[in-house]
Amino acid sequence: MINFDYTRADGVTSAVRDRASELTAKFIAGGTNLIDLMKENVERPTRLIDINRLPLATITETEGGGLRLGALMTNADTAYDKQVSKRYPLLSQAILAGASAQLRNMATDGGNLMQRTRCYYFYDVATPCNKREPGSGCSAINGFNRIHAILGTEAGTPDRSIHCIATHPSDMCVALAALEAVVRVTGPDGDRTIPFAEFHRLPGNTPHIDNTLKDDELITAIDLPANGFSKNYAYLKLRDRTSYAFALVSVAAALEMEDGRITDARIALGG
Amino acid sequence: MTLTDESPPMVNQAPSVPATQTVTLTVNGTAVELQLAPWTSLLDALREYMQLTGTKKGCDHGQCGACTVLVNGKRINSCLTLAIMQEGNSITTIEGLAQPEGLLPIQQAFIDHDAFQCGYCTPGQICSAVGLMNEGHAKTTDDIRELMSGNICRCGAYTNIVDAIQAVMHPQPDKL
Amino acid sequence: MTQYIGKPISRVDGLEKVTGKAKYAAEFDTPDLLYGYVVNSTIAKGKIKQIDATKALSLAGVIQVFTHENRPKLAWFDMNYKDQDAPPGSPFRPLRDAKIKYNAQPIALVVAETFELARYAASLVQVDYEEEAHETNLQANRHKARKPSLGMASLLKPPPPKPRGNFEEAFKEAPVQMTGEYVHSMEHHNPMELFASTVVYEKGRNKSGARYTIYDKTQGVTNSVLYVSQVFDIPFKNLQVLSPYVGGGFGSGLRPQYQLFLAVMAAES
Repeated sequence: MINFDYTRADGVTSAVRDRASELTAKFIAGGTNLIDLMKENVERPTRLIDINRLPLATITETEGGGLRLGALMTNADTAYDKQVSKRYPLLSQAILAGASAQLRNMATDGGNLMQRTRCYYFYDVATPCNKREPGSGCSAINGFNRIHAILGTEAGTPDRSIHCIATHPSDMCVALAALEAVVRVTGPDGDRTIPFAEFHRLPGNTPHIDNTLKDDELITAIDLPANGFSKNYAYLKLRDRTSYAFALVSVAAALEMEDGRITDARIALGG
Repeated sequence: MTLTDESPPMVNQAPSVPATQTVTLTVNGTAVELQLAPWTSLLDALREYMQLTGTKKGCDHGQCGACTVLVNGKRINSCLTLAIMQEGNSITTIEGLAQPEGLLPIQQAFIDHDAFQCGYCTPGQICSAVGLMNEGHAKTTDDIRELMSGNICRCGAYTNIVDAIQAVMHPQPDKL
Repeated sequence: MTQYIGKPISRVDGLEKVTGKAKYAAEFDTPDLLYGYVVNSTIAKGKIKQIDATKALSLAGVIQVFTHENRPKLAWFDMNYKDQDAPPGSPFRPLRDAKIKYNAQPIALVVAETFELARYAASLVQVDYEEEAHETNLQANRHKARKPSLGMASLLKPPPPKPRGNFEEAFKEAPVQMTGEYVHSMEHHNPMELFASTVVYEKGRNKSGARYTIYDKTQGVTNSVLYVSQVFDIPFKNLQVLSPYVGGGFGSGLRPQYQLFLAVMAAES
């Protein structure tokens, strides 16, 4: 872990301003992934901007009849929230399938989107990794890649990357993709929204860029649309042990049924 | 196809030692002022700067649960948070669980049910069990197993750990 | 005996363990305690061409960086590095020379005033290697297998029991025969408590008067005493190894591990 400065943000605007003035700084909320990566010298921020005291730990109703999850809601408080577990049980199920009770108590909803891959080579600074150090090579493609991508890695597949096969490790995000959530962000140029499917990027030729959030932007909330598919849903996760392991493969499926007919179907794949 | 030249911001910092600052932590009901740099984890602050070595360092990566402590009554991995981030919060470690009148029922249950062997995971297991009971989501033994999965025991005392938690949860569900 | 099997038994050390009072090897606070952080090799085979600790040493609070180049002169003969459970062959000697024999081999020890500083300084140690091709695939090299040579330890152990019955005969006559080859996954010791040694060094009037109190994560204190005494030429009477609690070992705690060597070396220097 390198030497870094620490600032406690007292407002969203000032937090974003601080970040914009020092692009090598990082926001920290739960810290469960960032601190681990800092210990391994994978992440080397010059400053941590602690956003834990910002007023973003709420769940509110949206005008469209959905729920707005504040970015600083913890994963545990979100999954066990009465409204979320009743109206979006797929989301609760997916969150509770991930990590451990301790980590879910620390990790925030915004941070869950921002966590980085668990590719072993990404973590090991002694090995080449295009995500960590663009141009150094990919150790996973011909290495140990049991936890890596399966779909989209074969020759001829559209959007296939020859530089990286790392996956995003989240369970929560698979459910958010199926539910067609919307990510709300703020930056020096104001607020904007990003449809969930456009938030994370395929590795392509820029495997070091995980998502479409700009360096000086902050996630403020995640909006869940009105339809939570609370009647017919399932989150299935296959992994090497039955609890506290990353998915080898996961599926979030949700159906809308009318008179025995499927009128709307959502399937998102993860792992 | 080559990698495009959108390089991440590179850090080329000259080696330097961070300055320490006063960090006030409230641990087991007592506010303590420490001189710490931002890079000190809560776990290292407890063990190396406060000599509260009951909280254990196992993997230091959030995978083993030996470092579990309670922050405002909720269990967390103290290795994955910085001490400076915990100012203003109420931290409880294994040393702060026992009451003047004696052990907590869960501590006694760990002894009675032989819920350990080497003892290194035990403080984390007990803090985690207290957190589990505070949270109130475990109803069955399967729930206990699932919600204790963040605590690893290499000696294999799992069945006795579940028994100890069961024994405290069921006869006296409101005690903790 | 059977009355105890499968039944919970209250342990005499239970109270200390459930209250966090049981102390393990890295938990003995001592005045002016320094912290060591190990630099591990990032190649599996080859040699160190150059190891540069200038940056690490430039940080205030970094006391020393030990490498094969500046380590103190120690026992020369292999014999001295053999512990009571050592397998046959030449024992591993930490920081002996520039040779890299395995990945993550300890190649330097950074000693600093805090753990965080030692960890940071270790990341600043620059190493240039001359890499050689390594063979780490056991399955692919099975044709080179040989019977292990007999060491001291195998002479002390009882011989295997004499074979009973006649396998060949019985198998030939078996109504159903099945042969198969099974390979299980890698198994590691992985105890919960990682390896740690705390060395309390008290100066004597002369070198032979110095006292060493060592808290070592070990399942065999006498083995650690013997090893430290032989390698560092310290008389038994000046040496005490304590291991009141061991956070699991599963066999990996039977033998002195390299952190014991490194901690004693650093304390003595």
